[in-house]
Amino acid sequence: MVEGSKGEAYLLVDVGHVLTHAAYVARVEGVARLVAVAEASTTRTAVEGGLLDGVRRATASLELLAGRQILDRLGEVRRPSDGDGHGVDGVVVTTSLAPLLRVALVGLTEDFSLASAVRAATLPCVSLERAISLGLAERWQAADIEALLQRPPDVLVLVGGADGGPVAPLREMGETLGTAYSLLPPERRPTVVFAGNDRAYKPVAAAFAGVVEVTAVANVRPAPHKENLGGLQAELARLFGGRLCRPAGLQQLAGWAGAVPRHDLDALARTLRFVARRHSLRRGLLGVDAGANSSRALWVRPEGAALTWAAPYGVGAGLGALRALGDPTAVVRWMCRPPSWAEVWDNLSNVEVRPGVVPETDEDWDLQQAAVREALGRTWAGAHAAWAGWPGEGAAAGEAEMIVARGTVFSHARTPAQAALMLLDALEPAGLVRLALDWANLLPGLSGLAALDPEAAVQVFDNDGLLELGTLVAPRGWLREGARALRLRLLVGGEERAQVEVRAGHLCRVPLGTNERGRLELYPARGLDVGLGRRGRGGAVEVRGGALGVIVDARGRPLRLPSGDEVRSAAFEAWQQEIDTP
Amino acid sequence: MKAEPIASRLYAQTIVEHERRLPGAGQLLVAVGDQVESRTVVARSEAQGPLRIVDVAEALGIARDRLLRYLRVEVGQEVQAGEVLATGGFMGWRTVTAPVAGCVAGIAAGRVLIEEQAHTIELRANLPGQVIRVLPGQGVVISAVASRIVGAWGSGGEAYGPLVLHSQGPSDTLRWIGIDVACRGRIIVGGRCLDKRVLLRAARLRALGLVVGGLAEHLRAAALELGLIVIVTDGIGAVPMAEPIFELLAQHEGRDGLLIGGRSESVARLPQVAIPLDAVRGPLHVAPERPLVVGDRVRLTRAPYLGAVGQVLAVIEEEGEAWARVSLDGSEPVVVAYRNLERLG
Repeated sequence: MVEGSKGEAYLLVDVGHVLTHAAYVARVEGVARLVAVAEASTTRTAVEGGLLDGVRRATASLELLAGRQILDRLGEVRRPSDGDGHGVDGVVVTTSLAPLLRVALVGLTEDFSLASAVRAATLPCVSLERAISLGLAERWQAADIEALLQRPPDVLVLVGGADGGPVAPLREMGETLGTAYSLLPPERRPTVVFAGNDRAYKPVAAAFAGVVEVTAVANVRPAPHKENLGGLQAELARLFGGRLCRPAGLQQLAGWAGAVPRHDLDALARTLRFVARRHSLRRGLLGVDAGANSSRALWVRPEGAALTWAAPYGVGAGLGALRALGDPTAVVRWMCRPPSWAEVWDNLSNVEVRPGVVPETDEDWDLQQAAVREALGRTWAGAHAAWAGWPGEGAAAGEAEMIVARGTVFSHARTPAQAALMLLDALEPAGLVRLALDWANLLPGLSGLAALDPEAAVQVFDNDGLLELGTLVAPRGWLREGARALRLRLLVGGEERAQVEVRAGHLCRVPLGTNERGRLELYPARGLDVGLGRRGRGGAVEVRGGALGVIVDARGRPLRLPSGDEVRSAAFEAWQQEIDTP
Repeated sequence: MKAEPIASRLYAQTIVEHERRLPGAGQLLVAVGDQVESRTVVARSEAQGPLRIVDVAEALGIARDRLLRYLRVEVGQEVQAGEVLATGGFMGWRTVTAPVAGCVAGIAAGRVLIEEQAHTIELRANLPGQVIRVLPGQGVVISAVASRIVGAWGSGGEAYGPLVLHSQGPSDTLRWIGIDVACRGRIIVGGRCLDKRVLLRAARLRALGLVVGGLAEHLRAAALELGLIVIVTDGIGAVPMAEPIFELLAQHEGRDGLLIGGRSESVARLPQVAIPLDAVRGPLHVAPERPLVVGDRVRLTRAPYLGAVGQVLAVIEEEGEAWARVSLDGSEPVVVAYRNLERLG
């Protein structure tokens, strides 16, 4: 199908480490809608039939739910769609399984060119393996160079010097690496990208002559106070795109879908940028993804590149990274009724080795949600610390206007309130923030759909894309438990809907339905800041409702958990009850 | 989620295809159709030695472009550890020596690159059987009729040797005192392992590996550190070995088995034990994946029933979710999520 044309039906597939999700989108009376979603276990080994088996199973489930035939008898996609509604006009595949681009950076000064290169390489598709600078001794360390030889990266990026600056150190590094890489078989040699001082390009290219081609892109730091990351970012994205389908399973999937799979985080960033623009979220939007193998965070604003962060903490195989922290209380502290920590870690280890299992008992649900809080909390802490060092947008990363969460743990949470409480505990958002869930695991696929049929993508997003949980009011600061924290009055259509007083240490919900808007008058206590300028300042704001309405979290920021086991268990149960009750 | 097809974790008789692959390109020594023994070398390659970089110019305190004047070696020359690479300074009193034995592979920007000795890698079949496929320049696939048990966790590595049973029953805990010199070169089978001393002794006495039903959570790291191949068949913690698995392993005591620890980065492989059989007796379960059906023997994989074994009484599909009613050995039937079940046989 021609990109940008109008089709009748589409299949969106998202292949994760544990589950493969499929969504069927079709035009209903001229408007594109999400008709059905289904999931199946991801099949990865050759014995299981490779990735395609899992995708076919998810699609077969979709056929039953949608009452449409999407696959033919051979398991191939039926296309184009016919007059009876069978078949599809396009397939979009997103995946987190694509191997990341392993990048090593070599620069002269840690604080200038190398810092810029690190920022440029902070892309969803990049795993930054090593960043080497001349250092204080102003010479290359043999151990650093040896490391680049023992395990060559996929891409070696050389940066350094303002335009017209020194050439010798880069040439010297190029000569050593060029000689060393010439000894490796060609398939092990990295791709070399030069993004430094324009004068140094020719000597560096000469040093690698006959060994590898050196691609030149714009200097990431052409002047001490000027940064230019676009060229390097575009080149890294291009190189990643070229390697995406190298694994046999993804190649087979690409052939079946008739389209190159997209990296899910990159696709998610594109959709979230659209969300930020659509909702005019000038302060930015925070996306979080709690996966089985890792957790990721994205900071997206209407303009500019997205900031991304991935941590190895997950709720499946990624539980191993939490265990490796060596802190036995790490997950236990979030549990309502914790058994012994040894029992907790035995249970978590069993989930780690069999990530496809699902919780069945209350204790198991409690354990899973505790693990999500720990994994996401640590991921967000890492992201916040890393982004805080960025000039401009990074510093504002904690001031999101909206948080969008995705992951099976959120979409399969027993109630939307439980999903919201996991987010509040893990991320501790403050001020006025809208909360939403990618309930159908649809957001990455929508960016691919937008390339095929922009109108359909917008219509599906508007109608079915997000489950809006509501608007959160979470004052910064801390008061003693039980003190009056906040008084609020909610007006809908000029009429008073509710007037509530919230005590410190408690949560509260005020009903305001999905797509409803209201005027919220806030009167915080003197020590608390609700994001209206300074501590104690109240005011009136327009708010949007959601599945949970307006959520008031007066537990204080930063969140302090009670220290005694029994008190903490009682507090968790009380909070769960408060957020469950409108 | 629907009731999906699932593969069994236990086969009394099946066909095992075992892939053997070199870490780099090499030479294949067998062809399709050849019969191989476990110790047959099927492929061979020369592994390049690691490169060491010696910053000679820096050590001598000279300009990088003047290095050639001070060098005592040339490209292609073999050097021994401690051999002088360059001399400089007044009367040549400053010397730079080779940190390792190897070959001078290159000289660039004031540095000498020494490539350590290459070594030969010989890839053994590790499974008696027939070569059914060759992976050109990389390895072979060997096929054999065997009993096969797929584990839940493995510590990596691969070994082939005789099985020795060290537990009376599937719930017995391995005791360190029982691990003696008779375990050398053998695969130890036990109900569960909760004591680090068991792993320490098995590693010290050079046992080939361990197959247990359950392994204490903290012992996973110990197994990895010791480089001991451990296969956990049922779960982490004080989980007993499922009885059908224990019975099968007990039947094969004294026979040679192939232990695959999983965790390989290059090939997605499940941790497993395969015991080659001399002859096919009874039906051969090639066992394609299939959904669970009434009567299937299953293992439960999530608390509170983790490790329990039972029989499927019914498969229930409601609103896109699948459940199964399972009669547990020796207790009341329970309803559990389909995804928390594994087929045994």
